[in-house]
Amino acid sequence: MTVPIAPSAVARLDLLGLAPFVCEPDGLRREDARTLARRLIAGIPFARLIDCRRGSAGDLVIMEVEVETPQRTAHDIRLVERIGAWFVAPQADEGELPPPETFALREDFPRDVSHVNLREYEYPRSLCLFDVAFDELRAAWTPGRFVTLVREWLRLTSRGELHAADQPLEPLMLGGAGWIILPNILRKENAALGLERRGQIGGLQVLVAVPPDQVQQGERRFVVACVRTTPRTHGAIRRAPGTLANLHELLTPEDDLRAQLAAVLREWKQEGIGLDAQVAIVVMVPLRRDDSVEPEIEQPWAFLTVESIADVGKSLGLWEATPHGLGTILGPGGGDGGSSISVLPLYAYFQHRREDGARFNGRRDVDDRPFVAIGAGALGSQVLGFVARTAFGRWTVVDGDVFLPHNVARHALGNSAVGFAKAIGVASGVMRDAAADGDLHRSIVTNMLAPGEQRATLEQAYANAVSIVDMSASVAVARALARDVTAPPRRISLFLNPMGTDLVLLAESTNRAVRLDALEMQYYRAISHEPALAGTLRGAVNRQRYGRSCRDVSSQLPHARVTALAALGAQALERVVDETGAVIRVWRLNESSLGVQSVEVAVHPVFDVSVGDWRIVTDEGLLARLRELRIAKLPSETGGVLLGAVDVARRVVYVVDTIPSPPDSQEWPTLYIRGAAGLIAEVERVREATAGQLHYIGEWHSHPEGCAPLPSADDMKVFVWITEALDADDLPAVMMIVGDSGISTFVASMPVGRQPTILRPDGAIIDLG
Amino acid sequence: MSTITLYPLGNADTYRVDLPGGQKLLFDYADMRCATDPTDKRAKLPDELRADLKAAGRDRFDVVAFTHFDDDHVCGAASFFWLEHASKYQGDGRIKIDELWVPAWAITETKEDLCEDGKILRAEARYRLEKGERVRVFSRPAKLEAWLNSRGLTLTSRQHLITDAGLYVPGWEPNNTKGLEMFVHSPFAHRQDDGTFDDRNTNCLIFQASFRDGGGTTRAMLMGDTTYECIADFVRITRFHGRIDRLKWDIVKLPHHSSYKSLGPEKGTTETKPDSDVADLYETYGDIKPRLVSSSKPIPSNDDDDQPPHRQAANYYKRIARHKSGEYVVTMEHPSIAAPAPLAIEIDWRGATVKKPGGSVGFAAVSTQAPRAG
Repeated sequence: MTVPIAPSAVARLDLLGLAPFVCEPDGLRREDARTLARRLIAGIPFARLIDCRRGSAGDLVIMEVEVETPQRTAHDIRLVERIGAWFVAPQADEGELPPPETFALREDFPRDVSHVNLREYEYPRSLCLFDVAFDELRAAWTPGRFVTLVREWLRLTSRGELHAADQPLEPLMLGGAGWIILPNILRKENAALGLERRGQIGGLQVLVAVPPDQVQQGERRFVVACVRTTPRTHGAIRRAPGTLANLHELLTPEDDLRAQLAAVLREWKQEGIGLDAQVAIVVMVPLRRDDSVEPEIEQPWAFLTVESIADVGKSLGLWEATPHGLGTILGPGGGDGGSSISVLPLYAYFQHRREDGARFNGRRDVDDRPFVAIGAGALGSQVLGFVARTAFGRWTVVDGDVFLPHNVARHALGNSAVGFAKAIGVASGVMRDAAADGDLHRSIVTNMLAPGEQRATLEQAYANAVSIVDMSASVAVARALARDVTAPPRRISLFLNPMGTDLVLLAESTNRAVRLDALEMQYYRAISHEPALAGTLRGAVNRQRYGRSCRDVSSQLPHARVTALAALGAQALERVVDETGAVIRVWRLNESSLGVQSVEVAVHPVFDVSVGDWRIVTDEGLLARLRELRIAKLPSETGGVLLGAVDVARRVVYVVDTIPSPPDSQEWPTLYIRGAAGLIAEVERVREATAGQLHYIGEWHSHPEGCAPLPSADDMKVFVWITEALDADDLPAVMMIVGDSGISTFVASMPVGRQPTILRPDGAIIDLG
Repeated sequence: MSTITLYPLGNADTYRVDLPGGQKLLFDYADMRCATDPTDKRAKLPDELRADLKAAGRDRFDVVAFTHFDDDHVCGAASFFWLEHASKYQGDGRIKIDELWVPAWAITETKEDLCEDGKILRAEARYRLEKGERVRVFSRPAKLEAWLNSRGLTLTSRQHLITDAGLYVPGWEPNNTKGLEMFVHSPFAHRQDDGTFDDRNTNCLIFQASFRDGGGTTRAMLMGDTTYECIADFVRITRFHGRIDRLKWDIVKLPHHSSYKSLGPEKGTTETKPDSDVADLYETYGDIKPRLVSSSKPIPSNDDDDQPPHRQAANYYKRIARHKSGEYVVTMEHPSIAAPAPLAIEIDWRGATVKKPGGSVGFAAVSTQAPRAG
């Protein structure tokens, strides 16, 4: 079955310069065109060659393809379709040739199909076969695949599946002269706008529409005329206009572009806008899926006129040139209705909104929950940059530091920010730049440990936040957040280890039953036991000095590594805010393979109790271990050393870990004498593994069954010995007794020149008699 | 989605119907290929069918229908199927038949020219009918009753296994959950009894199959090697009963390999002129964009061969296809005469689509993604 090309269609092809002269395959100028023709003759399934044509601008290979259409088609695609592959003639200086343009040559081929290239003519329809750049496909292009692609386009279109019903309305790509970026205000209402020329790329203009007062004075000015139309149905516009008159016709009868434009021009003349400026016409078109539904989106089409406002006005019959300037014509006047005004289509884009950021980043929606970030350093600035682009959270950035020259090495801010406060640079620079929505993120320039006059502002920010995220890399800040700041939000810490290989996330439970300082301790315990975390706190090598002060040192670690971990941190943060439990997670980047290993550390419930004026913070992880050790040795007693940390200022003792009974200990049902074999080495190992954070803080021992966890006279002697041992460091001593009925904890400290004061768990002082 | 798959077997019939629920129906089985001839382009039928069953994890067909027992419809069936009447047909790898469909003629026929596979299938059909299970016999001529009586059985006792023309096949009535309704047009018992039709072809099975998918109905006229008289007869009878819907079709498996004898009495010079009732079936009752399928050799350009396909008949069918914006497809010409392959017709709410697999669609088909992001 053949579909003849109607004579009128041939004539139109010829008018377009599309290859009027029939030739042999060998007469085609491009190798890919010859290959296609020859392959069609040799036989491509469901395709056959009709003829080859030559023209001045390019050559045409005409073929017929059989289409896998169903009986009940969505668009009138036939079982056999005639297709022209148009190969633009090669130019002498051109490198890679563009792919063939694919025309549907049947005279009554449906006009209202999608995935077509918009041309100035409606016939022939130019099929859009690729949605990736052809350069990506060139290496794989073969005539057979080309035919398959054409047949597949036709098959899917015949089934109405090329543009699925759940797919968003496709953007109508209208372009050619360049790009125009439109402000978001235009989505809602018309606005006075000028154009700023950003430059030219490949001979095409790049224009940004901005309020008139922001236009930098140039030699030639542009003015933007906005016009809004009545809703159109998807696929209604089938060709690109070449003149203002064409554009007007495209929109009639529903809209009168000429009248709308005339009103704008008259206004401009009254306002005294220079009429030598060029006009950019932005037509806002509400687009709907079909006639029965509401418009889904408003799509901007933009055109640049070559002629000036004065000329456009003349063409529209608004005024005419007189010896005294432009005289206004009243009533319906002359002019040619815009047919002398060329319009160049521009690719029109709106500015990037936060919601677009969410969409492109795969978030369902913007997350507008308030967060406080403490620390805008190498890690913090980058994490904040990522979350801002993802539209995750509205942030208050707290940092008291100035951005100094050496910070440029590893920071989201660059050289231009030197001398500004980091907090401002990050909130108003990096984060604000993530979208065109203006000021969403705030900054407070202060050190949270000494906020001074910013205290009230800071506390207000804490109180309003859903989480306080500490990225300060400061244990002091984390401890202060955990124990001094009273605001209710959950605390989260994100930091790197000194070598910059590990990213650590500590997140409190939302009910704050497990706090940041307790998580810190459990993290230390994990470091000393978990092989996957071994060596994490090894000191950084090659500390770099950036100033003359003793503390003007920074470590040497690659920016790319910080960024890699910051990127993980941003994602980890997004996830953890939707979890309720406490979390310890570590990501370790292998320096040689660059692989990343994640380690999840189990978090144990925390006990935070008073013993006198001390707080004892310990957790079920340690207590369960002590109970296990006791039961394993029953009926004998056993014991061991306690490791932990002391926050002297806050009078908190963290009881974290134990070294079980050394092998030379004496364990009897009524007596335990701890040995010392290997003990010093083990204490030292833990101290080193945790960078000195965990150290010896006391002893524990068990009591046999039926015996209360209360100290005997012998126990007290031991306790005095421990206390004296720790006295040199002014640290308190801890003694824990593990019995059937529980574990009791005693704290002793040695006031100067006196016997130790021993506190019972209920706070009473034990008389040493 | 349902699929009808027709195998290129020269002038012979075998087609498989796959339903959305996984049921498989096979119509005829004719392994015509000459195994020792590597240039034989006909399908390796047992291999093809076994591969399809294996992919579906099955060892049986829900229904195997033999339209009649001529060699080009049953050839090789005795070596492919698991037959219940004798243990020698029950070896490993044989394919089971849940329900065997045959015309009554197949049970009662006593002519000596019946091929060997036909005789074995007749024994199978008789065995199943005697046992009273897993068989369906179409029409109840007097001869069938006589045969049953000769075996000490009554017609009444086998009533539930017998379906007359003009009725739906039990289990395949309207609105069943399988998505396929089967209406019987032929054979017609009275015509056998009054002597009008007295051979295999005129007493073969003809069904109208209605596929229902997502609110759309697609009808297929499935015809055996019937004659124009027989077609005209069922068209008249159905029209008389006012059941025009039962004559409508979107797909037709054309009768007798595009033989002119299924259209009219004369071959014609360039185009066969159909009997007026037959013309009604194709011209009046065929829907737009129909698919006409000829299970035959390629259409010849001359009249050297008396056997079908006849180019004059093909010309008539082609004209109908063109006129209705549909297509006429020949099994041994699809996708090419040089390399015929099984012809698949997919049926969904958009009606019938003849599959035309070209090259790989994997090459940057519209709306594929690049393998890199960045």
